[in-house]
Amino acid sequence: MKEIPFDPNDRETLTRLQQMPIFGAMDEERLPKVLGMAMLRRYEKDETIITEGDTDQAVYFLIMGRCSVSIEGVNVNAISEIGDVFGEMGIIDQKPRSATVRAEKPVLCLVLDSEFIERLEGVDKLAAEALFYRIFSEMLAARIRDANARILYLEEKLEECSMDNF
Amino acid sequence: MREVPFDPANDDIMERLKSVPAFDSLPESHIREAMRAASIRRYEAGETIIQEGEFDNQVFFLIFGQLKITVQDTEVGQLKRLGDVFGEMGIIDGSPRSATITTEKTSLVISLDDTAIGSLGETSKIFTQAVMYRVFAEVLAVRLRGANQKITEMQTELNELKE
Repeated sequence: MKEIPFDPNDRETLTRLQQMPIFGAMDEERLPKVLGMAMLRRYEKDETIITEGDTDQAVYFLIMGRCSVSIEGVNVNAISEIGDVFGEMGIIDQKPRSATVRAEKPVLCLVLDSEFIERLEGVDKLAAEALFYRIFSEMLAARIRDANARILYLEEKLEECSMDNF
Repeated sequence: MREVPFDPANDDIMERLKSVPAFDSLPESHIREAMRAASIRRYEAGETIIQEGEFDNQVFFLIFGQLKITVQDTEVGQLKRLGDVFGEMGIIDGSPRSATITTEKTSLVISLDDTAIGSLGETSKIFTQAVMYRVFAEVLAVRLRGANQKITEMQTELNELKE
């Protein structure tokens, strides 16, 4: 993994970030304040980004690449869309990492530590909270729907299997 | 159902709100500001609060009482803890109601209307949204952890059956 501070003069990355719902929705004055606290990280294929059980609290925004999400070695999801957020649950409820996230190919992501919102002040802080928690909620709602669909599918499969075993 | 606007001078309600896990880290002034678009509803036993399949843009916080969640007439859960949140999915993604919520006992809830939030001034709106979305994210994170855990268990069981 290689990490460099985000350079606000890096127009190419900035343009990509502004295509993401979260940074695209942020007003021009607030964006540099938030991005000034961000780091860019590049992971090679098969590197682990988040380890289940760890207690680090950074949130990640995918710029490029694809990651797998697994719990106890079982693959539960993938992260592949530009702007996909992961690791936000640590910020939300400060619990240990519930899953392992691994790079399936080279991955570029933007990283913010959990304290970044606390370092903002006044209306900037509230506006960042409103925006980030809204995006987190949307991401979580979409993942819950995926998870529920997967649960239904697994229920059917389990039923088929138990029928076969008779 | 009887509905009254949220009265920030009502100390009893404020005390209860302050002990809601999602609100307990917030200064009272923030809670008051965030609740400007809120109203309080009292339901008798057997009333329907949310109807499966309908579209509306309200989110609710339970103050007291007991609620039953049903999907296609099958009970899937209950809500009875102070601060339990329900109806948030409609605000988050504009989807139709995925379940029906009815009261099992007399219940008091706070309702927040997304349209009313939109009509607040810019600063109040940001206040309310900051609080509301933070609560949503917390509730949804708990649910997602639960769902992922269930997937892991089921997948493991399935793998064992296939061996």
